[in-house]
Amino acid sequence: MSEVSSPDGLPIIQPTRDKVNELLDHVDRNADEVVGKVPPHYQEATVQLAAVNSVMAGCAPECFPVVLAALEASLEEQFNLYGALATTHPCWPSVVVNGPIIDEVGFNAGANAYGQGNRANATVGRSLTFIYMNVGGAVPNTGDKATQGGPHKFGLCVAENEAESPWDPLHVERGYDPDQSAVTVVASEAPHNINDHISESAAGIVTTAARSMAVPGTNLAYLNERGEPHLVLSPEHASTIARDGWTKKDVKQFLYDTARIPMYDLKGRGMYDEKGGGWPKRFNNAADHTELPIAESPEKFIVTVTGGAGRQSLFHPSFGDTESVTRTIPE
Amino acid sequence: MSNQTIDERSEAVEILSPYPENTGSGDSVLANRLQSLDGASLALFSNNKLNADHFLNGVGEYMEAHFDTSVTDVIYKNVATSPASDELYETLGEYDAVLVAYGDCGSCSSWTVHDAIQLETAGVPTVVFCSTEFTALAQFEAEKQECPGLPIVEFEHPIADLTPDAVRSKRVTPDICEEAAETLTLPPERLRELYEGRYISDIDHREDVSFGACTI
Repeated sequence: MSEVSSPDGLPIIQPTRDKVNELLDHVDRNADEVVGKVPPHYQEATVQLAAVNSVMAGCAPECFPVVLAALEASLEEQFNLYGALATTHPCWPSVVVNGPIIDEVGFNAGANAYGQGNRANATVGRSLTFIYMNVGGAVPNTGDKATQGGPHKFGLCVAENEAESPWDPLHVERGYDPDQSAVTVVASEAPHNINDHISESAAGIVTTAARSMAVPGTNLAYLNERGEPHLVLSPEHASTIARDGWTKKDVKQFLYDTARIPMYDLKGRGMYDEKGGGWPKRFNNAADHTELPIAESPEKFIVTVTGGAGRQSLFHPSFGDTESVTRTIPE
Repeated sequence: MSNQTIDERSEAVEILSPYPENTGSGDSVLANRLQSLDGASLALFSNNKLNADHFLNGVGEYMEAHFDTSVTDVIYKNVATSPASDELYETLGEYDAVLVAYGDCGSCSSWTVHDAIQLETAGVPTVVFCSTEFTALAQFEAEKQECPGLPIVEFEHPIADLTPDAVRSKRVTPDICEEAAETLTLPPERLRELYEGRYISDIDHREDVSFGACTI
């Protein structure tokens, strides 16, 4: 065997030692340093192994620190990477980038950020996927038992449109300095569109979002003691909401209060099981018409701003039994 | 223009392996088994998947009817998609052996294997029940986490859309109950002979391919 085969079916860059060294030169880490054990096989990922897989995915050297930070974040215990990679559910670690590195390496936070057309966006997520597959063993139908999977599993990485957001970006909300670069990983499904071309008020737009998020078929409807619903607002929607004086905290509170599903609509569906199985025990005695939230608390909602012109927002349903993790990206 | 031939240029390019080195010891954390089932107390441990308790009660009734054993009421963990608590492992460790059910999806099978490995490591013989679609996943995970030979007893998939009565009558068969009972008394070496590679023998082990630093 002389060449490495592609894990995802698309062509790859062969990881020559020279190319791998170019990535290693961009991080102040020993190549042999163990980043962590990657499930589901719990094999050790060294910095070099991460670099080899990142080269294969087409990752530019300046983006490699983002891959490493995202990998480390996803290996935190509360993220539940073991479950997220092996599950039949179509979740996968999605990556949100914040801070100066967005402009420094050219991530797309604007138009079509979730789509094709930008190397940084396309390859950071792909690098992670390669590491999960080649190191962790999350190979379809053996270590990764997704029933259908989804296109985001080729890799999903976007930047937050901080310049056009009326609020603090995600990493600042989580206690980091605006001048720090950070990455957040969320075990979630591919996003679903939220179209609202006519609402002129904050309540109007967030109600449309809430109604799009509270549906009985997501894991969050049942497995929501830890899960975080992730709302990605377009800059235009965010601007309309902020124009009414709403803070991000107000958006989350409104979502918690209104993104609800009546008990009668959950009974007998999804993962409803009053003995457990992920069904929140706190809901057990709820009357049929009680409206139940899709998260444990308002703080569990993640709200970011990404995208270009247009009155379209997005919703990522979560795996459910997972918590997102934010890590800084060393300069 | 280089004077090197294509072959000479190719040999100068070193390609690195994207796969981890196999650093496992080859040993297994499997616990020693029981001398016999006579007088043994068996814990029925549900991962909280729907009907896992009915499945376990069916197995438990067979055990009590055919062996001189006692079984517990079903002990539940909080949620199938995460590990059990340390307190629960301690509780389960008070019994002679543990029967765990069941793996019938990706994340629940994975965390069920994890729970079983914690118990085996603590010296508690454990059996994992898993549906046919998920035994390969469970076995890969057990073998990569230093528990080759973990007894994974297979039953027909699917199970989630069966009634509790059908779970007992169609999935809890004498064969799987006898197999589970046998795994609790066989020595670990014999379990490795029986279960190592059992469900994954026809699957390509990508990371085991001899690769290293190759040239093109």
